[in-house]
Amino acid sequence: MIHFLLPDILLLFLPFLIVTIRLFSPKRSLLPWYIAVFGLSIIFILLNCISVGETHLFLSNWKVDRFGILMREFLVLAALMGISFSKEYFNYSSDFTPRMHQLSEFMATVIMATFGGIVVLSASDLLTFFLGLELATIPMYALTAWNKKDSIGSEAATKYILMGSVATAFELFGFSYLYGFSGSMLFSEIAAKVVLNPSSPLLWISVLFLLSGIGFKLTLFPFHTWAPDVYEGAPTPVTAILSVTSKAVAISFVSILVFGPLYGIKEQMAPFLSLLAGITLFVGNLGALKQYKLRRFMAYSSISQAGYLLIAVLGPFELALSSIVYYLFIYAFSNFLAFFIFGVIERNRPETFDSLRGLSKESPFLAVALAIALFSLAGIPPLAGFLGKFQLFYSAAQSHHYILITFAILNNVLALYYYIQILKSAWVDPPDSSLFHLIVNLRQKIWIFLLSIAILFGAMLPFLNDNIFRIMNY
Amino acid sequence: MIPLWLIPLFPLVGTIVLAIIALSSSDSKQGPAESITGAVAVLFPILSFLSVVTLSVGMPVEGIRGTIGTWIDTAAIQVNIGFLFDGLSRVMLLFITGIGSLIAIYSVGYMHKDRSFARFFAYINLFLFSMTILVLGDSLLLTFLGWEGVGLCSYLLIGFWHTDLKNTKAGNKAFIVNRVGDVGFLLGMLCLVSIGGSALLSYDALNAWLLNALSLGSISNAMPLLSLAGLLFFFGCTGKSAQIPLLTWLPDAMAGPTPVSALIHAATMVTSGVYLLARLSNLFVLIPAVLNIVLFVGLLTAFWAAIAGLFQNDIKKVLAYSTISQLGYMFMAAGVAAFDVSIFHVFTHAFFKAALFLGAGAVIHSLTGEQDMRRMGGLLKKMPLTSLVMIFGFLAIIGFPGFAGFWSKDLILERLYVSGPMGPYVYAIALLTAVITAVYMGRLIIMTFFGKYRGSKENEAHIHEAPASMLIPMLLLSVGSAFAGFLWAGLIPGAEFFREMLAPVVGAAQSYAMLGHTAAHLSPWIFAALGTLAAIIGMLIAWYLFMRPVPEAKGGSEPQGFGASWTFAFDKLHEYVGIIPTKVVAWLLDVVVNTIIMKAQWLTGGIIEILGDGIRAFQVRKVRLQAALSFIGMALITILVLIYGGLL
Repeated sequence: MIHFLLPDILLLFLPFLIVTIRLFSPKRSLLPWYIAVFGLSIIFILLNCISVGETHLFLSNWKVDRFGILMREFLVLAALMGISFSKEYFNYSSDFTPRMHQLSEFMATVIMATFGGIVVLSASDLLTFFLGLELATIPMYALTAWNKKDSIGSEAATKYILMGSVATAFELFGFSYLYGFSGSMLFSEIAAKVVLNPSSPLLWISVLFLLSGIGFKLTLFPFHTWAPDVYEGAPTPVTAILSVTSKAVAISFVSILVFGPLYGIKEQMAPFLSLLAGITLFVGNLGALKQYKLRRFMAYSSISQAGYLLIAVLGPFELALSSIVYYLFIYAFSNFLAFFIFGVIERNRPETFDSLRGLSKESPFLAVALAIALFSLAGIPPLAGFLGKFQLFYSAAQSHHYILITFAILNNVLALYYYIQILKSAWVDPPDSSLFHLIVNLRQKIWIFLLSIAILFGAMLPFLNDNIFRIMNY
Repeated sequence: MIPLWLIPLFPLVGTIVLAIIALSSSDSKQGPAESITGAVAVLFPILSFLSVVTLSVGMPVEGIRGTIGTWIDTAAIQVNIGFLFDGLSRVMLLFITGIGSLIAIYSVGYMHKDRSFARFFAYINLFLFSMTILVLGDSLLLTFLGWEGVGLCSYLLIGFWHTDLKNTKAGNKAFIVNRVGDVGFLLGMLCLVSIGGSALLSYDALNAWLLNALSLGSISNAMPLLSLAGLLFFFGCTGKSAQIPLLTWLPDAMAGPTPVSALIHAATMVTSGVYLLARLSNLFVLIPAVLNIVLFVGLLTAFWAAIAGLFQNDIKKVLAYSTISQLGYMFMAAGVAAFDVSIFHVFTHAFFKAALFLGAGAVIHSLTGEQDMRRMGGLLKKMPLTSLVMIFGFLAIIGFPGFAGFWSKDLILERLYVSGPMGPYVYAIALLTAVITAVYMGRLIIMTFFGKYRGSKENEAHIHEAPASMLIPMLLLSVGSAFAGFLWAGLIPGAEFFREMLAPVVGAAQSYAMLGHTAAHLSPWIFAALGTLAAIIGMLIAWYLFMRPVPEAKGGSEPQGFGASWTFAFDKLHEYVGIIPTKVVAWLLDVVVNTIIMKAQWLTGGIIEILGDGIRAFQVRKVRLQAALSFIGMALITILVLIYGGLL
């Protein structure tokens, strides 16, 4: 057993360590890269050693609970996948955009954003909560604009900052009303006040603004409009990180809010949340139908996935949180697997569906992995994505949101349709001889293999799922 | 004491090794080295046999139970992977792995120079694995796993030479007909589960439950479902064991290599139905009505198949019909609650039928694939050892005194008379069937080994005795078919080893079935004498009818005229009862799907596409518009929630 603060502290110092080492090492040295990978791995292992029984508190407002530990593990793993995926983009140019620079700083920024997510998870008052969310978002702006020579990336970053600022403004407004309503910054006191006075207009205005604000971050309808542009414009690794880490932080934000300070009015919020979830996944699915660019397609796919995630929030506490954690793990595996494959594709091909033509002939390994990733995202048994979706629905079913679940399941048909369209390009369409030959390096092979295995066995071998449930119900 | 799971493990390892050999050599032209492959193929069945022997020696009376782990653990159903090694599974396993090993050795010679040598033995090992699971499983579900596994292997091996369309069709037929029976097995399990939960799938738990319900008197409540379950299980057995009405696949299954016919379609797999009845004996004795159905289905099958056997020209088809007929005898025995006798007949039948099939295989092998008996004859001098084996098998199957079949068939006939409903009548038909058995088997022996050779000249030149690897298993099996019967020689006092071995498993059920039965006491010598008489009369008829020139063969070996309509009667029945209605329903569904559902699907798809276009129109790139759209959308949602909030 280790002290519960140790991983957090290590994670906080890791970016500084990386940047410092970068200063004192030769220009092409890979030392910072190894330190980042090694450090994140160590932190991940340490996180698995924290005792999960009670909620740890540090200085009364830094809290490490069961959900927090699980999400920490998830965020650190996602950061590890993110930087592993990014590495290639610093070695060569891809998708006709220039090569990226400053790997060490890039990794430091990713880890900073991860730490921001951890602050959100540890918050027990409004200030820390807000600080964490900003800390998780601001590095993302920088990451989006990382490729200074790419004008589309800069445009995307500008858009992101503008919309993000609007979102922040909404949240601050909501927080201030919440403070005005309850007269306290502490979650526990707010929760008590909410129970006492659940229909106060002040409270509801604050709820409305808070949900709108986080709706931007979680790309919920109608605040999703920025996502396709930003996802398309940002460098591919940043798109991957955005669609996993940023989304995970946002959904934890919502769950902490709903199961924390606002728990007293969860039932009253349910219609609102279910409407948001339903429309979001419908719009995301419809939007994805007609896309032909891979990243824009993934943007819509991740919009609809946000809708699915929000469905689980409607369920009872333990079930909702454990199903969200499990789904996030599986979603991250599937998403990163897809992105790894797209990364291989766009190294010397334009990132459109057409570049996938004849993939099954050229590289059966990639084609099978792609099928695994997309079928998992679509939720086809026996892949892990199926079990993930099933649990999200199961969680909502415990609170009797059957109409929403039916709607979501019908939407799955739509989702399957557009995921299969990609597979059609890869498996059915005739090969295009004008495409450049694919180059897969060892790291990509290993990651693609590992992630495929994880998705294949994530549902069939029940330990991941079981462990999450056991920890949440400890 | 060695663990139980070694028994199925060995063939499983063999399967994996051979599959790897087969796959890794799939690109080479002449295939893997036969010596190594053959050694592997024979080694694992023998190891499995040795473990069975080791376990058999020290087995306590109540058997050995071992659980490896949990198989299914859900709220609705909990099943362990557990093995049950008792008197019944011991005797089954002994001859399954023993004869399996012998036939594996024989196959090394038989499959010599076949390109798919390794694949063949991978299937054989997989079959032995499935069969041991079937017999060793301590719950119906695990038995069902083996049940399906042997079905799969049977399919794979019937269609082993898959370049010939006829073989693959035969494989398909076997598989599909078996699946029809499997529905019965599945529904039977479902019945048991709905009576008392998934715990009843375990044999021990089922027996305990039945005993408890019987003593409490609460059994009558469950009686309708229990009877249904019994009937459904029996339906499953008719599929696997080729009884009326699901028997048509077995003659066609002769398309597979002959060792396969010997192992799967004579000695082991087809008897798994009899095994299941014996395993569930405690259930079946409670439902005498179902047992009567079993009895009459067995009787009809035995009689019908014996007559059909008379018309066949293909040597393997004769043996196939005789297998069906003998299986009918086994079911008759089970039908009068003489489960130990039925298993005894399974045991002796395994020896002599395997010997007959392997002998037939040697004949076919030396005639380079000729199976039509009208083109054989006079092989006695050219293949004396094979003839000896076949004649031993022949004497055993017709029940010649002293040979294996004599003892087991005699016991069955005796039990039919003593304890069956309408005993004397059933006995008479069964005895008549025994006469016919002797006739058609005599016909086979005479047409194959006596008279003059009638085949082609080029075949005649190289008729030869089989190689040693084939001969030794044949000879061992013929010894078995001569002496296996003495394990339970009803006429010799004290020679009841076999009955005592099975008594802990089926004894209680049988004595329950005999309750209140005032058995007519007749001397066993009368039955023995009548049985012997039947065999001798049958032989004499065969001698009189068939020791004359055989008409020259023209066309295929299928029977003609009355023989054809008799042989294919059940094919016709399946056509009218099963296939045509299915096709009609399929046609209807096809039309409905095409016109209505597809239209509806296209309509929905079209609407979705239009909606998608609409959403795409909102893909504005200006930030101002994006923000504005967000606010408007938020306002709309808020209003919606305010108005309709409660309904969502």
